[in-house]
Amino acid sequence: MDKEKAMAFTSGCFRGEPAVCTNACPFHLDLRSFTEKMQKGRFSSAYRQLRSELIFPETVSLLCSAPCEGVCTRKFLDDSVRIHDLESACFELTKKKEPQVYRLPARAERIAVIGGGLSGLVCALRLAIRKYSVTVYEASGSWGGSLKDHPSWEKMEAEIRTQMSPEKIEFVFDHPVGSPDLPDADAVYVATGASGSTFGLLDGWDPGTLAAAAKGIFVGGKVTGCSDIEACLHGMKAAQQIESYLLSGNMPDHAKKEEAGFCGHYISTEGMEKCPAVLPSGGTYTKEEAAAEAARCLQCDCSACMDACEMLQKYRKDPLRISTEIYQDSVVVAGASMRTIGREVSSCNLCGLCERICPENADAGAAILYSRRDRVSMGIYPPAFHDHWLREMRFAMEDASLVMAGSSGETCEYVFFPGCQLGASDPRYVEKAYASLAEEADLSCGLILSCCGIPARWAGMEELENDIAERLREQLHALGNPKVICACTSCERSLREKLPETEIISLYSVLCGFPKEETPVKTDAAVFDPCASSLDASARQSVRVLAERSGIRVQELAWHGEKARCCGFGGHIQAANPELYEEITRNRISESDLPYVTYCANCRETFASRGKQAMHILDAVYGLDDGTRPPVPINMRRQNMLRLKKDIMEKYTDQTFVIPREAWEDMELQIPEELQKKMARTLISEDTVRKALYTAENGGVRFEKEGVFIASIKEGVVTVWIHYQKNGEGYELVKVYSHRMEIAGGQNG
Amino acid sequence: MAEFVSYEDILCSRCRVRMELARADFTYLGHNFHTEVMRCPKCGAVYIPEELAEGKIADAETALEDK
Repeated sequence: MDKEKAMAFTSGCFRGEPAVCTNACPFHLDLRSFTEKMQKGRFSSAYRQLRSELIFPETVSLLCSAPCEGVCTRKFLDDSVRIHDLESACFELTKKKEPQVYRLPARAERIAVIGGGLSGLVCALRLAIRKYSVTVYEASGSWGGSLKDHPSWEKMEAEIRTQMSPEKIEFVFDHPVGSPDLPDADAVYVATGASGSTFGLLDGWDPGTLAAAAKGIFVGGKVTGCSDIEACLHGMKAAQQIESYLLSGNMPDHAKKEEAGFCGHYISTEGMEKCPAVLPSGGTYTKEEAAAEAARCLQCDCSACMDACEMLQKYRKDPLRISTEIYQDSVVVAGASMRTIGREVSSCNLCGLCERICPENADAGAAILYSRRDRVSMGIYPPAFHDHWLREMRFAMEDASLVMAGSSGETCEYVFFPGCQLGASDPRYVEKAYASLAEEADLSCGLILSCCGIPARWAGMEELENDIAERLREQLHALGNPKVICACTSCERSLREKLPETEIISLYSVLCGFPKEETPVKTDAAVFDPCASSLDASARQSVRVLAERSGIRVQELAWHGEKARCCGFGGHIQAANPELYEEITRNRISESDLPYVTYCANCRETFASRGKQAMHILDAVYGLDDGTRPPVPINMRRQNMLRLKKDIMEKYTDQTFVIPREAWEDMELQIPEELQKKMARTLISEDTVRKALYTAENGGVRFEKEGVFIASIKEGVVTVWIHYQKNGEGYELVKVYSHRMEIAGGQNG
Repeated sequence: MAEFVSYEDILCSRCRVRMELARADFTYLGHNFHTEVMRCPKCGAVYIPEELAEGKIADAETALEDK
């Protein structure tokens, strides 16, 4: 697997990165954590956080212009969170500000700080806390530097005094230092202030590391031409660089990059409620006001895809981690380590919602499809996950397939491509729609009954997917390259990608253009947009128009249009992850108590199998059903496909088609409702059960005990077992179950 | 409706002999696995009961699929 390609699918994902406010803060303060503490009324804890990151938090707050507020995500909704006011409240509401004293052993190294301004004091205190021997040389008679001219100097002085009080820092006042006689020390920080001397040290000085050319000497603060806030940052950095120099004996590398990972991405505020800023009633916030204002913090961290997708929620993995694990899995040496993401990869509906909903279009689904394909090529993708659907696909493309140009002879201007499952759900859908196109509208319209190949795509079988597309291309070529009218948006999506030269139109957009009398409103229903409909706004709109014309008052679900979610069928996850499939389908039917109207046969069947009243839009258009029609079992889907082929051939061609009838289809077999449900859930076809029964009753392997007979059959990669008993002239199924493992030598000895 | 509470007295219909407990080897996704099953001593046909298919075998399948 190509690592760069695997990572590129989701490289836009910024989940877990610092928030925009942190990104804008010169100190990279974790403001999400600060507001969380303030919201909970943990003011002292919030204060300790500020102090540990800022050294002199009140002083910094008085000097800071609060760039965090300028970038706050809330400004797009209402007002930025008032961080500066929250800080002031934190200082007011914190009673004990005396620093914690740590009893660390004293260190022998001597550090000289030249300049007792803010930068020098920050550096001196940081190193004094680490128990270095620190001496501050100050040209004037007191510390404070240019801060002494600040209107709030009194407040600043009090804070600095309190914070420095427990630590031992030696001050030498009225001691101007002049080159070349820098004090004798193991390391020196020169922070002589705006009008101070640089001692010629700025030649070869590295602003990134503050290192001067001479060993052990660092320069920072306003003497380098920076602001008060930067001077403070310099003081912290100088302390860190000095300590690292003293430990390693080496000056820092010049080329070292600044901290990475601060991205500054915005999360989406769509659908969020407005809540204007809380203004302090007095000079500063009360406890309640502070907590209320802090609660306005959105705790910015993107979870757009994870909020939308049950699979991502279940595995608690963000798109970046999915890509990483997908790559790591691809290089696992069997036996030496384990793969970690196989089940997730097989549990994705491949609906594309994560990509559509992501502010940066990170595409976990594409990464997962890449992984499925990679696993198939390595021979490690369990065939049982997709075997059933691939067999159904083959049936649709071979036994039930039909290509005809229609009344106009050899070629046609349009061809209707209903997709394999529309006729399987109800042949009338295809018959009625084709009659509308070819008869009522009198279009030069052919028909192709086949499959678009999406089951092969979902199974990660790219070569097969391409072969199917090529075959369809040839069929279209033989028909004179007509425009393709699709009834299924998943077919539409496949064909657009695989046959970009072909013009694809949605059946619903075409039907919408035909004149039809309006029907008075009979019922309310919610439109369930199939996941693939996101690429065809015209189809989505047309379905709504068709529904209204058919007497349905359309209601919208929360997740519709571009944000349409998969019904659960997508990606064929049912065999790989039946629990997740159950959860997703349950969630979808619970979105509204109204009946659904959808325009994907698989959505309709999925909902019907859960007992949800769900009609296909063609039910409404042609008055076929109100959505209470039960789900169509697997074997009946095949029968419907064959019946459709026969009816169409007999009506529109001079050929006939004899539906093959197998001996086992005529056996009398009762299947209790519970077992029918289990068969639907575990994808066992009644046809398979009948074949097993027929073989057992005609000299095959059979076991028996007390009137119950047992037989098995291998269907694809799955072995199906049945227990049955005789019931008058026929049989009754008692048990049915399956397994994927193969018995060495076969179960029949 | 008859339920099997034990594997005793299960007959192979073709051979008319009683099934016996025997080890069976399974393969799945390139891995091997074995367990006791009922086997016809004459023709060698194997019977996998529901509890085994949906219990031990299903668990092993899941574990191997996750590897």
